[in-house]
Amino acid sequence: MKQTLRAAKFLGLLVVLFICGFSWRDVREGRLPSANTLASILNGALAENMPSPEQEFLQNFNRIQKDYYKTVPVDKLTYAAMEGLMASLGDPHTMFMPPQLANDFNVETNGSLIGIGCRLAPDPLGAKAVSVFDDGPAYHGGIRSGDVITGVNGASVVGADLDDIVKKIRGEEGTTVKLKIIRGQKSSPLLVAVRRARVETPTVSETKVLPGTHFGYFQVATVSEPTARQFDEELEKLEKQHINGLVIDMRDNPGGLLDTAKEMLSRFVPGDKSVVTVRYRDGHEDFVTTDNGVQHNFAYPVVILVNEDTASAAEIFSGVLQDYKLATLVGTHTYGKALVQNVIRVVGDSDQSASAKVTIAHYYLPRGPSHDIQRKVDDEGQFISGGLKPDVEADFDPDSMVDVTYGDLKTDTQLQKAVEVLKQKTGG
Amino acid sequence: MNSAKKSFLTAGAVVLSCAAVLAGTLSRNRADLHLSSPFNFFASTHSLVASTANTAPGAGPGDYYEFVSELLKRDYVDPVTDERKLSTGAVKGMVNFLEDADSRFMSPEEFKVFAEASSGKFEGVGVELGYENPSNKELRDALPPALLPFSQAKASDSSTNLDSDGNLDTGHLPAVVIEAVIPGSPADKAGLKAGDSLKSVDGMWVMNPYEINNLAVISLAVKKEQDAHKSQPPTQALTDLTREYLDIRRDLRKKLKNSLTPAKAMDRLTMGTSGDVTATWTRGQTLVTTRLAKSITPEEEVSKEPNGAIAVHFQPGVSSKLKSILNTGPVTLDLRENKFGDPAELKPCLELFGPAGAYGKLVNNKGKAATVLATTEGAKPRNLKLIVDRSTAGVAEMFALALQSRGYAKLEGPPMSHDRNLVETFKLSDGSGYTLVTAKYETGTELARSKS
Repeated sequence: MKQTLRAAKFLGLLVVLFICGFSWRDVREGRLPSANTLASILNGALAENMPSPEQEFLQNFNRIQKDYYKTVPVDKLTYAAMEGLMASLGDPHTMFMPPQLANDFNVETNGSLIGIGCRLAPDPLGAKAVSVFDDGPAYHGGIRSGDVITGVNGASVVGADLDDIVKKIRGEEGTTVKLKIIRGQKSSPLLVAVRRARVETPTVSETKVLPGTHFGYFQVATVSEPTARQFDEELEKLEKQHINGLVIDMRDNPGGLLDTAKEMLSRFVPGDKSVVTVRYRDGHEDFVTTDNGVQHNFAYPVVILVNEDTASAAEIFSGVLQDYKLATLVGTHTYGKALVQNVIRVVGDSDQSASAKVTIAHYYLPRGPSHDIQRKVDDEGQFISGGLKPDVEADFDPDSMVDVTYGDLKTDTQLQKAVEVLKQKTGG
Repeated sequence: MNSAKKSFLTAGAVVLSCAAVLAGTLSRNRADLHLSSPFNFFASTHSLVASTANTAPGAGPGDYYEFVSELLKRDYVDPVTDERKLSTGAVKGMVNFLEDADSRFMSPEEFKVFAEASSGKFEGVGVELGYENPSNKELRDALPPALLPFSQAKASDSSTNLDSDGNLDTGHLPAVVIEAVIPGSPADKAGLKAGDSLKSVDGMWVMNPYEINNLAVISLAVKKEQDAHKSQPPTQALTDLTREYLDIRRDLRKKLKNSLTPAKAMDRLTMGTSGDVTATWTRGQTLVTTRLAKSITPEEEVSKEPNGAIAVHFQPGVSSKLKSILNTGPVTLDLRENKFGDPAELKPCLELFGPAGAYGKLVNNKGKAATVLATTEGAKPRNLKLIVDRSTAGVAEMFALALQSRGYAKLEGPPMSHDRNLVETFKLSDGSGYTLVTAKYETGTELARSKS
């Protein structure tokens, strides 16, 4: 009897040891032992025929990594897998962003980064400063639009990749970068020192009074953190020139932050009015409403230019003003993104981490759920319906050979239409 | 209990304990890596190049998988009811990432059709279709005569999107081409041939790199003419070019509105067993239109042709069928119309026609030593003739090359397809699956030394 008991105890020990051996990999890799895997191995029949989804993924990951006849980098394959995993839900806005993309996305929504404050474009001799931000470090260091950067910290960047040049120029806040630049036809290059600092990217730009009119114009490139303040600043510049109409160019604006859109809308709409209703999967709703006491007096008509690439927060801005009849939409139908996303760093939280963008809710404009603007596409991804319908349709002639520049009245036929609308409204 | 017995028992207990830990670790490896065996047809071939694997240290793919799938299950706007959809999506993402025409992910429906075709039952119109990424030269050869004078504009202009191989970047859009026509199928009766390139299905345009290249060529010609006569009034040549360019662009835009992706077009021709399908094809510069009834076309592994040749298709079981009808005399094998092939049949088929030995090698691009393709049994060589053409591909092509390289067979016919990929097939538990190129066949048995 005693011996039987002892044998049973020993058997128990063996089982515990087996489990220890089984979970060793988890312990070594610093996670909790995988109960799923253990369960599946104990339930032998099930395990042979039906691996858990995670096991099936890992088996195929290892197979492709090891057996494909070309070398496949582990990180790239992992990212491709996650992209496919998230795409399987069929929502174009639920997506995996590998580190590089995640970082770009982050910079775009924050609207600020540590740098020298100028936009660069590829150039055979290095990198060309296409626009130098007002009051930014590059401006103070003496760099002007059109300058070509040919050297960074004593090393030539002639013929280098733009991404590599940008990497070299970026660095810690407060440190200095020495740049060699060529200006115009001058043969001797200049050496300038620029102190890196936090710079805000201009998201509201091309501000001007349209020639031959009294109508103001600016482009809003994204709806990011500093956009509302930049919007106020640019508006002030225009109003000093006594405009009697305003064109807000939201074309190609992919949107950004709902909060910023709300802030901007609060300039137009009285307080406590509905902006959007957000509905989560458990049915609970959030009501986003305008702020009190920040309304601005728009004593002139407003036209918003939109197109199929006007989406998300830019679409909310345009759609809410359309609903309250505070602006006229000119252009083509918008994207139709009635979904709210959350962005989460994946596995670790650093600048090198990837991100996952996940749709977490639907939203509705003040026009209500019966006028859902959600984009619908066919099997081939072609647009069927959705988006905001502009009050005045205006599209470019698809057979035109003219290169269009947004904001240029000579080539931008949608802008011409916007001006026409403003003229009717102002009786001019 | 005496002390000897006691120490014996203790020793036994220690050994058993160690064995338990080891068994645990091993079963874990098995659980993580080898639970599902590769798709049955080809299970045996996996050992040709397969290896065991370990996950990378640090944050491995498993960590990513767990994090992202948990995130979606918790937060996604619609409840995620089927987690297998996520893991299948991940596998699809990986296979598509390879951008390899022979490593292809297939939905459950597509995979079913593929598996049946692999065993000799062809749905649809009875063709084996494949993707083709045309080279720069092939693109130029396919230009309509009117555009030929401008093709040089592209080659000499360095500012265009040429990839590292010097090809025009047509966005990785492949053309759909016939790789083999199943004898006796509706497609065969309609006179379709390997190499025919698909243009439209049921009145819908099939997106293809050729027509997009046409637009690129003329658009470059326009730009070149503009640059050559800057700030001068437009020349007659520019006016003509512009009109031509706009015509092509308008035409393409109209076609795009009613179009099919290459994958969807393939499905329409190779799936289903009833109904009709209309398709147009280009063969060189001529246009061929066919109206075809869908059915099931069976294909025999081995069949006698009127002229005495034996038509061979490398389906599972072909080697034993072949063995049963062979005598020792001279023989002619017809290897045409062979795209699908079971890699497991390669060795047993070689063993029927040559002595045991090495028949080439299976190489990869990883800088590792290759595997020698060697047979363990063999037969006396005979007078063997192999009829081939461009529809001889994959396993059939490897078979022909292997025997030719050792001098056991004479090849007769135009060049083969040049597809010498060893393609293995894997099935996922939801019925979808994929093919994966695991090696390339090369003649010669000397192995390059590993560089490391």
